[in-house]
Amino acid sequence: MTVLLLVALAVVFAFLAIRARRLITSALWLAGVSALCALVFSLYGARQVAVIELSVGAGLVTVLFVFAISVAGDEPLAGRPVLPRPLSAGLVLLWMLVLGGMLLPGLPIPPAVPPDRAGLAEVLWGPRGLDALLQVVVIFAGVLGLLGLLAESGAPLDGAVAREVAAGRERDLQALTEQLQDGEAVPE
Amino acid sequence: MSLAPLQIAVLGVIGLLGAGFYGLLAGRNLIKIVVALQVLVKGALLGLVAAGSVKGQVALGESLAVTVIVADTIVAVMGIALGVQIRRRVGTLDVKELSKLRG
Amino acid sequence: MSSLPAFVWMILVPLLAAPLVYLAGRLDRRSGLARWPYGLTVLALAAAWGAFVPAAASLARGAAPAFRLGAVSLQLDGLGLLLAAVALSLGLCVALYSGPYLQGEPGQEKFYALLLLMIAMIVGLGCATDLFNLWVWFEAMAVSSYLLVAFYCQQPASLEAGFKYLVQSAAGSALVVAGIALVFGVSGTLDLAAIGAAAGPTPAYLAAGVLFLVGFGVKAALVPLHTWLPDAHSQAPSGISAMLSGVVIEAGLVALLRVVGALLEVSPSWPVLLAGFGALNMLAGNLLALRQTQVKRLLAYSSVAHIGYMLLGLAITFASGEPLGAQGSLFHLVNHGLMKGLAFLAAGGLLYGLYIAAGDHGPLQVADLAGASRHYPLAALALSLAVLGLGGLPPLAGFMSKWQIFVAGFQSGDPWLMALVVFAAANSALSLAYYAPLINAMYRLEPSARVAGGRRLPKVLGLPLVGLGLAVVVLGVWPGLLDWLTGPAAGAVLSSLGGSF
Repeated sequence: MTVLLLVALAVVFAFLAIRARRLITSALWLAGVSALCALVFSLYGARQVAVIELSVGAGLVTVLFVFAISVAGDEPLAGRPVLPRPLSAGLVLLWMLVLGGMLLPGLPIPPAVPPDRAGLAEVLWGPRGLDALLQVVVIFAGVLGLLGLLAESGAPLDGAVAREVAAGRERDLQALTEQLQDGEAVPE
Repeated sequence: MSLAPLQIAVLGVIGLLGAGFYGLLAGRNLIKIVVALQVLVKGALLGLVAAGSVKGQVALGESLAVTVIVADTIVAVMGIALGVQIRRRVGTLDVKELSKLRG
Repeated sequence: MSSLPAFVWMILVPLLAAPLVYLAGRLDRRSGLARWPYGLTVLALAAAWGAFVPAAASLARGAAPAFRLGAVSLQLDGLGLLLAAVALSLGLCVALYSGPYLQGEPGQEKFYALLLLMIAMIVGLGCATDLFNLWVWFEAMAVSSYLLVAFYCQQPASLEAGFKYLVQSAAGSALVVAGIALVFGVSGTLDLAAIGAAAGPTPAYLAAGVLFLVGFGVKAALVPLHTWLPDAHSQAPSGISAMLSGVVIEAGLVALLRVVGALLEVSPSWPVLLAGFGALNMLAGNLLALRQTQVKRLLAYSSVAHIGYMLLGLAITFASGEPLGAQGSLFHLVNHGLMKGLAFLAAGGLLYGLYIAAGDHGPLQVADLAGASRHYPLAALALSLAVLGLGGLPPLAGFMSKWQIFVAGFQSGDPWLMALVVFAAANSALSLAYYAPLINAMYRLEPSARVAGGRRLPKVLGLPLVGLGLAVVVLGVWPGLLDWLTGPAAGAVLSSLGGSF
């Protein structure tokens, strides 16, 4: 039952992370999802991966998010999303129902199998050695990618596009101020 | 009704994948979209670990999960970096504004 | 180390060269020419060809070269060899081409290192026999391609394309992992052959099949999942556009094919699904391409359509059990790689002459091509050859492979497949409606002001154009030249269907 509770809580947290208005709240809920997942992992017997998930998912990634938000700014976006919300919700619900309907009723309840005694490191560097080697490649490619993306060169805000955005902001701000002034003018 | 561990995991995976996809469809902020991606990955990870545990191959499941964590952390970091770079070059994190500018 | 089979060196050489290329580039930063990384990359890819020849020879002798590390093995079969051939030949052309194309751009050493990594990962993906390992190759390929797409990271449009590509590809990859978890949880194994033996028509396998179809379908650009493709393919540097269109989406298709082969018993409707997506891809790709005014976006949408022809050929084999459909489809995969590579490189040459050499990152419009044949005879001829081949005009490569697919469809005798073949032929004719204006503009119109003021193209840039152009013509005249490659590849597809016939 504990597992069910934790999993349900993780789904709720995930939803809150998606719904959160501010980015920083969203990142914190995501850290919560990660921590709950780590707990669930350890209840499934996967202790080592639980520790890794806790330190990488809840720790490192959250720090990176917070850092990115402090660089990029955390302004709540007003207005509607690209796709109307009920439509996205409907699509996702439909998809979840189909998948759940396919999987849950026919799912065989497997007999309890005694857990193996092998450790994570033995498996990762032994039978799954090729995966481990490829992880090194992924990390190398990722580092090269980051170096390329974060290279400091050229003017930060480039040309026409940035000017257009800035002008749009200016217009919105002006409209807002006018609205506010109108609003104040009425009660007087 | 009591649920077997596998069924709980399936429910959890479907829930997390659903939340992640909702975030991808409805999200407007680039950083928020990366959060949604991470939620998706958590769902997939839960599935891997549960599968390993159900089949009595916990360590194998763990090994797969570690590989997925490493790869997807790299992807998340690159996504965040792209988002930050877009904020610097374009001045917005809004998906809608980006597609509007492209015309 | 000398005991490693030759095909492993096809993966190892570019893989090990990548860090060297990066280091060489860091040491040689001042020149801005990136001579060392460029030379090393071309050399490494040529060396990988040196490994390709013995690998192909051993496969032709009937050996099944394999390499095992722990519980995971890599095995070269016809399909893997075909993917390696396309990746290495296009990779060599693109590496050669990118030297002059990228001249003066910052960060070239990263470009070449990531290009090598991506090629190595594609070759490895073709040899994977383990479901999870297949995903790891796939993910590594994706990670190494993200920066390549967003290489012009000063340009908002290419950053946006990179982000879109990253998000869709990562979401697809999460679905694949969920599918792997499902298969693993039900069957307890990750070996593709063992999964094939264990899988049956239960809902769990069916759901996993759907997850794989959607997950790999994002990379293979199956139609409702293709929306990242036009942005990524048009914003990337032209060499990368060629790689993405010519190899990467095909690698997605091969990964999908491997998994579908293992899960074949799960559903009787795989041929219907493949044919359905094929028809959808042809129609949507062609209709969307008709509306484009930018050359590279037009070519990107045409890739969506061409994936449709490949799917149709595969569907014919899945439905009838005859190898001809798959052989035609895989022949088309090779031809599409060559033709679309040529088209993107030629369009990139014009883009270079008209925009990039002048420091402008604007898109190449169809209208800009007016009179291009006068100032850029080679690039104009190459682009014309490529689009005529893509449109399926007779003495060119694209016609031969399409013809093979159509013949296979008629031989199957299935009225649905025959109807689809007619539909495909109509689509092929429709595609000329957007290819013809390109040629018309280049040869019949007076040079536009932009063309008249364009820069000359560097000589090296023309080399891959000549090579690919010759290949497109030669394969059109003697299509049998590639039977040694496409025959075993079709055999590999057929043997993954083995159990059911």
